[in-house]
Amino acid sequence: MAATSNPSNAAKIGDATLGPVSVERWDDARFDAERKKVLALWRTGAEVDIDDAVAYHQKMPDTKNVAKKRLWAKETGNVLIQPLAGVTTLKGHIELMQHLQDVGLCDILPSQIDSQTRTLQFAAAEEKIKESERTGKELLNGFPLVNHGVKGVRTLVDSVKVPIEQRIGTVHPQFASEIGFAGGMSSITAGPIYYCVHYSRDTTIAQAITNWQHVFRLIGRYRERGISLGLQIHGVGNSTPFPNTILGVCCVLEVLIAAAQGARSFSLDSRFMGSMVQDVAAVRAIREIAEEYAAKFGYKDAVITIDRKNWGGRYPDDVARAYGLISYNVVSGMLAGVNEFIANSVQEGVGIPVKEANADTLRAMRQVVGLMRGQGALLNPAAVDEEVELNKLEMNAILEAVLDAGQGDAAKAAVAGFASGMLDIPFAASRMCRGEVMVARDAEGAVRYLDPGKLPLPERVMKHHRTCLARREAARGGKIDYNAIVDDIFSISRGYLVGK
Amino acid sequence: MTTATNSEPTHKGTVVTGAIGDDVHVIGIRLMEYALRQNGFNVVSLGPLASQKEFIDAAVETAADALFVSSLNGHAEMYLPGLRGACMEAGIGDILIYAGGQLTIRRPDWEETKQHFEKELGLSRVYPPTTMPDEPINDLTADIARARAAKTAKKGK
Repeated sequence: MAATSNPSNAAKIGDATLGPVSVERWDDARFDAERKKVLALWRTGAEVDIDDAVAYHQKMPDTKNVAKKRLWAKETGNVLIQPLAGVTTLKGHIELMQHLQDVGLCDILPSQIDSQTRTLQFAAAEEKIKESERTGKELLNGFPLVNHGVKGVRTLVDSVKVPIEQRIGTVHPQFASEIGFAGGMSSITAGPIYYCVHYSRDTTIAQAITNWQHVFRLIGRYRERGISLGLQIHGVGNSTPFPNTILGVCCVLEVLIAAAQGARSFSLDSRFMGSMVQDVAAVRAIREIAEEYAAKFGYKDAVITIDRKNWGGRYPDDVARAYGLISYNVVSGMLAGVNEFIANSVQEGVGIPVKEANADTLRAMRQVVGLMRGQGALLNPAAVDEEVELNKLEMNAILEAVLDAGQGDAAKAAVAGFASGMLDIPFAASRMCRGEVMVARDAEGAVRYLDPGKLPLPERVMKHHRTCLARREAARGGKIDYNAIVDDIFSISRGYLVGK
Repeated sequence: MTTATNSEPTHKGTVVTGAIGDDVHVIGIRLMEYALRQNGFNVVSLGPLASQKEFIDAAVETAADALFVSSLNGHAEMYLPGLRGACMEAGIGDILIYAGGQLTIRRPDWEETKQHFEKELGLSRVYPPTTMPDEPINDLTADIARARAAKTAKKGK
């Protein structure tokens, strides 16, 4: 989450003095100069050598590359499962990864990065690694891969059979991406909008884009050398009821920003909100809009898949109920046709999950995925179709308005969009968001705009949302006020979507 | 942000809101802000990671009636001491200060926490995590009315 970064390190990199942010591909001289500065921040930067890294990636089988595995899943109808995990020491992290692979049977391994690394505090991370090794306690909240270096990451990669995606929530991803890719990880979670509005307070959208363009250009450079590297694109989205449409709009902008630097493999998020009709529709709508805009901007070779995250908000503290919740999300994702699930653990409501519970969760999900695979049943197809149509109408309207404001440049569109409120989210951490949007569940539990702020929503969409909310107000016998909004936040963990 | 004016305010009062110190949990304070606006208050929002100085600067600039300080990560014990004194130094010693959330890491008896923050640290009111927005809003309405009445009485003398 939002944190203060090491100011002296942050000031040395991410040169935004080259003029206003733009989607334009960085020229090689700029990129080379920027890489030199980034890699000088810590001693392990000296271990990064692209020629050597390309050779290392070339030796790996296709099944150990995230981008290739996602393409394979898309082409064959297989559905992938990836957990969330990461600890301090190399030994502990390898043990955890092997457990999730061998006992959890996951398809892609994660490596969640700790907050010291995310804020460029490499000296502090070093201290904690030493203390963790000495005491046998894993003291950081993730895997400090910059300190472990290319050598450490390769030891990890060599000790597992499945590919690894680096998961790093930061506006300073440059160094970590250099180490991760050179070490044999083949994907990274992104990007500039998500990590700016949810993980930072004062970083501007433009600065976050500049910093992330380094990562996207790096992926482009590997691609020019024949190595495919993936991106998981978050868009926006937090742990409260949230419109998947705003998420989809921001995913499209992040895809366009990344593709301009040469990235081509994109797994786009979709979020579980509880309403089966709405959640199924959102996946279809996001997929169709993303493919439409990728093609429109000339990225016909982009590979777009959709992942579904498990519920990211408050969990039931009863593990049996948590299994019910997680299984329900898998059913909804399978009906929607997602390509991958990002799993958390049934112990989310209890505290920090142990690896056994994490692996148990993965096997429970695997069971549902297996049983549902190939089944095309759709609940209430007319309602889903209508929701898809309205979602696309809404996403198109917002995208056209912000791209217009950015003169067709996705980077400028993101900056102009948040400044004007045409892009906005409920419960924002960042000062870059106006925070005027508020949502509530309707009578059936779908997420609707209670206050759209300055989002340029088509009248037909807003009318539909108002009608749906009016039905809940009628059932409730009163206005939807902030007490109802509070109620909505706890609905998933409580076990029913809409209370009286 | 709004600027203070000398004319009679059209709103019920101005509140500076934020999550203090190293805290980034904003959902609670965002809901509080929404409820305050719905109830006719003017809200000056600082967001996460707000320092004492930012609270005070914003309060002075906007002639605020109250500070609403949120803290969910248990570090309020580190960031709230000295706030009342700093307000006095800035010439706004009478300002209402409300705090809410998970104020301490260990979870002692609520009365003990309340005593500590209200009596020892000079906060006006503190609220536990389960508080619904209406409770502090009702308290605020009454506290502001009392403060304004006292001010008028003083002027009258």
